[in-house]
Amino acid sequence: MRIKQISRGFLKGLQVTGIHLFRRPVTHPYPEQRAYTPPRFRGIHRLIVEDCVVCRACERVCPVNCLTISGVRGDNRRFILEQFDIDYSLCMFCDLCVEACPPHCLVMGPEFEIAAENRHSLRRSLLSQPKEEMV
Amino acid sequence: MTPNREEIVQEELMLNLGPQHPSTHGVFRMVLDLQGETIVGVTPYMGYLHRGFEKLAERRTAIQYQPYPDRWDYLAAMFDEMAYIGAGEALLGIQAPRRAQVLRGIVMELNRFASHLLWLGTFLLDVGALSPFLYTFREREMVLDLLMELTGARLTYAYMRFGGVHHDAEDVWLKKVRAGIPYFRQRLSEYRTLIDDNEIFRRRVEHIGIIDGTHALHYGLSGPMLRASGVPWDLRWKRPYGIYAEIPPRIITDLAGDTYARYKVRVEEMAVSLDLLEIFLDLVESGPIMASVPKVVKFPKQETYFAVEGPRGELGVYLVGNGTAYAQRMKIRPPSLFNLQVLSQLLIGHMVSDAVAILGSIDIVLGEVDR
Repeated sequence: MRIKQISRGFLKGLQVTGIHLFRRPVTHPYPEQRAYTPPRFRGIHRLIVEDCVVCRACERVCPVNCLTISGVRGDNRRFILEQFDIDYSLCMFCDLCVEACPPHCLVMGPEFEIAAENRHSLRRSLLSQPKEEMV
Repeated sequence: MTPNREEIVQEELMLNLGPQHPSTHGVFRMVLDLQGETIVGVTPYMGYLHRGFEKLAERRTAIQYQPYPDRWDYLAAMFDEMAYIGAGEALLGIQAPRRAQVLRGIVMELNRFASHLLWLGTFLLDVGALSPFLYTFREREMVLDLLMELTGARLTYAYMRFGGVHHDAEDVWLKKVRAGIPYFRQRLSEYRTLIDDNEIFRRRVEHIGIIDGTHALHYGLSGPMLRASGVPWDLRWKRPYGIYAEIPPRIITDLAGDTYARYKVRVEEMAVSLDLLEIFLDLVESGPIMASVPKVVKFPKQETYFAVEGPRGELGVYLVGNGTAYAQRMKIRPPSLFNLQVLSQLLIGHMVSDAVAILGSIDIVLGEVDR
């Protein structure tokens, strides 16, 4: 009786193993194959510099104070952005700054590879983003 | 020369388990007093993952604190968000619109399913079965992908807001969830084929770590731990919140109260979650996803307690307002911590190898125990 039970469990296990033997692998070899990032993915921020009005709503709402923003008043009383830094050693990608932005010029993109050699280089300026990154 | 039997000194052995042991699920440490292979005493040590989330609520505005609950219990973040947002909404007197309520129900049941899948995999890993771990993680990855498409993140969703939800669900997404349910049902029955009748698994988990309903209530257990002891207590229907008030109750209980009963209750709850998902998907109707909420949220000078039924049990938030945007005080009732209190009661008298199985069946998440 017991041998029957044990062998039944064993055979059922082998059956499931047999089914999986001929399935394709579900894992992705990461560096060769890009990880899946949907359109809403919250990755590294992107800024449309021309639209920014330096209202600092994002700076105020940030729970961890990772944003540093400064601007000067231009000719037609409009603020011009001078500095827009995000410290990615603090940022927790919570999306609150994107939600708070009145002109909707701050968005989060699909990039997530922010590893750096030291803590200092995690501080990134959004002004000097290469143009091809901006979509 | 063989020593005389009376000369052999018998003393207790102290065994340190954790905090980096894989079977302690995080950074939980327990010191076992052993007599031979039998456990005679347990001393648990917690607090390795304490990050002070209750104090942080006093230093962040209500809006700023919204992403933080995700970090309490990182496996079932939606429930933490719901507990905090629900408590805040009760204080502010806001009610989320119907579409938001239904979407909250959908994401919570998806998250419960994902959390139980991870529990199932790691629990079976603890009792020595490696392959179900890989299968459950494959399915969990699909649920996480669904949640990532909706919210933008895999674990720390930051999805719920005071008075609604952040993102609206597109029809494509809802169709994807609906299409996924039969697949998950099929996989669930596959796990049950593999596990339920497995003689080795049954002998490892049956009749160990027994606690009866009265003791379970006295220890303040909740969730599947309590229901496996025969107490039909589920906050989703006993103290309904959100959309659950309209759903007919489906409370899973088991009378045995042992580790196998806890396994059965959780697996059947996964099936219930899938049924609930189907019901919720039928309830989705078009409409707004956010109620009108002031830009600066200020908690009135009142206090409230709001609890949701998380995958591990009653997850409650006690929130005191003081008329400013900051909370006067916030206290979390983490289900894992309360369920862990029963550990010494369950372990004493069992073998060391049973200790790992029993601890696995409690389903602790140390991020929530230590906050």
